[in-house]
Amino acid sequence: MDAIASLLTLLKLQRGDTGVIARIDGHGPVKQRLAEMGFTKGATVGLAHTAPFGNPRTYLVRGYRISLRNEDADKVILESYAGVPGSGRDA
Amino acid sequence: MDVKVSASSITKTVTVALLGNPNIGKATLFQQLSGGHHQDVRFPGADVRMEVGIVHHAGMRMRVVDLPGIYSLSSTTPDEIICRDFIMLDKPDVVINVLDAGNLERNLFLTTQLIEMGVPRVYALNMSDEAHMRGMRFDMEALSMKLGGPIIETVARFRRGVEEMLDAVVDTIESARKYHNVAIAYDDHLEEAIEGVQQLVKELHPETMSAGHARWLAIKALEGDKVVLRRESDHESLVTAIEDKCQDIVRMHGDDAAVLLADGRYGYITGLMQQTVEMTGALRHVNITDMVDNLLLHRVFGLPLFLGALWLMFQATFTVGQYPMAWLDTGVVWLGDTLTAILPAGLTRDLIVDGIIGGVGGILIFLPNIMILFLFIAFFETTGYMARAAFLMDQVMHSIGLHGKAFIPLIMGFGCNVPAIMATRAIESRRDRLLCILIAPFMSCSARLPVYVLFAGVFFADWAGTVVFGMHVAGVAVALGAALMLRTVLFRGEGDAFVMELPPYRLPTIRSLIMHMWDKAVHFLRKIAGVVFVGSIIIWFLQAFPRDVELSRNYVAERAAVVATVAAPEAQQAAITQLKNAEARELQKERYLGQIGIAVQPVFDSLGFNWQTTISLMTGMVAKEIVVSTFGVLYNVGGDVDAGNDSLRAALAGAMPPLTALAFMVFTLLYMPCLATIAAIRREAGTWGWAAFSIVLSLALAWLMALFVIMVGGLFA
Repeated sequence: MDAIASLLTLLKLQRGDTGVIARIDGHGPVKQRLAEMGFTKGATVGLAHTAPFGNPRTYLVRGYRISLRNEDADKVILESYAGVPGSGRDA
Repeated sequence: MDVKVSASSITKTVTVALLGNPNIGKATLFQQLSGGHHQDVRFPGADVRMEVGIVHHAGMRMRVVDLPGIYSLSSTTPDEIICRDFIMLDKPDVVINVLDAGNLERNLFLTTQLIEMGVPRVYALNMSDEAHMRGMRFDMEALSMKLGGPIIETVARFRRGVEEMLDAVVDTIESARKYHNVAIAYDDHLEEAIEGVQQLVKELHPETMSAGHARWLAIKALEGDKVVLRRESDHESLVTAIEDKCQDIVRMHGDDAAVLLADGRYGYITGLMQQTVEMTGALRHVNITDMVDNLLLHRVFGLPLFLGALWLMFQATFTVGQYPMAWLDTGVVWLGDTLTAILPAGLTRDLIVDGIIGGVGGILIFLPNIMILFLFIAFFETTGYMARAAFLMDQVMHSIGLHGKAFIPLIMGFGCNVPAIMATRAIESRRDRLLCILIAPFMSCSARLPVYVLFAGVFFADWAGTVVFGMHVAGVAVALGAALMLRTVLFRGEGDAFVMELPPYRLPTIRSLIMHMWDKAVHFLRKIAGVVFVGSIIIWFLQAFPRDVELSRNYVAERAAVVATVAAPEAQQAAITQLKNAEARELQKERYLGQIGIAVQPVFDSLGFNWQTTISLMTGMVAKEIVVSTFGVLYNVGGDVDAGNDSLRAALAGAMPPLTALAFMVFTLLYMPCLATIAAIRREAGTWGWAAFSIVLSLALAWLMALFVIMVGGLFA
């Protein structure tokens, strides 16, 4: 995790945060599926729910809810995000 | 439905396909169109059976085909391939693209791909009432122009807009008006690549191919769907050229062509939405889905609530189903008694009363239980809770190497394994899918339910509902254990990603739930009228013949002796009953069925199964409903022997100890899939080898687990 700590990914989102997608890392079918489901450059994503064991999580994108595993969510790189006021992460 | 055929018009038959994302009310629309009457039709192009409903509208006879719900036509899942092949090869006259008005952005992704296929299309902007509530307004004329086809606002669950939609279908076919071509423009470099490939495709097919079709093929090829190209031509040069183009693109943009195409499509959609959809925000929208999810997806309470829901389902199946079951049981017993009284004694009466009424009636009484179970499953599915269950369980599933989406087919397996195995088509990777197909039969289907309801009622009456629930949990445990085993031995390596939509919660209409239950009831009754009926007759014959057998004792003489020597009426009666029982037992053993059972029984020696149990397991291989039917036929024979005890329950109670009954339930749960399931495995897995593997695996596991029950139970006895 430390090696990519500087990268802002979907995984960094806390409940109520939203972020804008910069790109998706990697290649292949997962990436294509994510793009087809609306995770494309410029799209706004928010975190909705986290499963009992912390994985997977549900995100809001293009007005609907979709769940991803953390290892896939970590490939979605954000260019900016807006935190919830008071959460201490809205820097 | 709506028969508007006038005498003068000539009926023309057309094929109309329903295409759309999952969870957008497409099934409800199909139900409205077909009126609940549909048939399975095999289409040559797509090479699968699909549900077809017939609609008569404005002098036209429409065969409406319900295609599987998909998000994309990129052909990465079996469902996507089915849809692509159907549209491409079976060439429906019109494709109705059903859209969720409230979730238009993502729904239109599939539409952009459909537009590029260049088929005549009509759009149903479904659930428009929900969208209006959220303050959305649609410029229908502009949408129709941009999407290249008529678009109608519909609310399928209330049949709103359905007639107008059918009018639009008729109009599109009759006017033969060319749907105007819509071109979705991509980014310059991508356009260059598309044109390059398009040119190559056209060169290989001079004159025969339209520019639109060539463009579609080029886009499909760049998206990575090589099958389409191969079907068109075997030209190696083309495939190489496309691969070169794709590499070019990756080098330029750092992204796959498929991803860039998706970017382009969403770019087009965003523009289109800005021009055609207005958010007035007039109504204050309370998001019910979020509120419900806060509870049902709660990190602490989510899983217990889900398990509680499952427990409630099986508890209701047993306790609520008990009452109608008792009424049916009374009816069946009454019918048997009445016929016994009316018909002259003899083989014909035995065949009707013991064979047909005993066998068919023995299983018929479980109809209420099965309908309640299917009601719950349909409710979980249509409300959107099933996807939540998959979400909650994914981590557990993932840890044993299963795909989270595999959870949905597994829960559906509680109803019937056949649709469960078909539902695995939503899983992308072949390996994950095969694994799910192989473990699905361990999910206890509704055909096994009568065995538990019967045995739990007889042997564990105090906790019957919990035992029924426990059997289903045991099925899940074995399925998961088998998955873990297969994953380490056969299907090694990383699984697929888990990308799953959580649809908004929606309440199903009572009508659709009732229609669903009715559908399942008809299916069950057909099975009873067919395979169970024939099976019961065969079983009866095998246990009634040969007629002349030599008995070890002269029972007639012994009975006469009792009458002569025992004076007290009660003692005399008891002695005679005992003799009659002994005679019946010996007779049964000498018949064909007894001979077969006794020959095979040693296999089950260590499990403590008697030959009657052995026989019912053997006949149950055809369909598990027959297990109970066989008991019905076998123990009904003792009907006039054990005076006053013609109920199967009473007869069973003395037949085996509770521990053996439990082992028998476990064996029934796990041992080989029924014939219909074996056929489904063969169809979906592709080879007989996997079907055979499934049979061997399940027989071995059933035997081992039943032995485990006997051994562990023995420690406490």
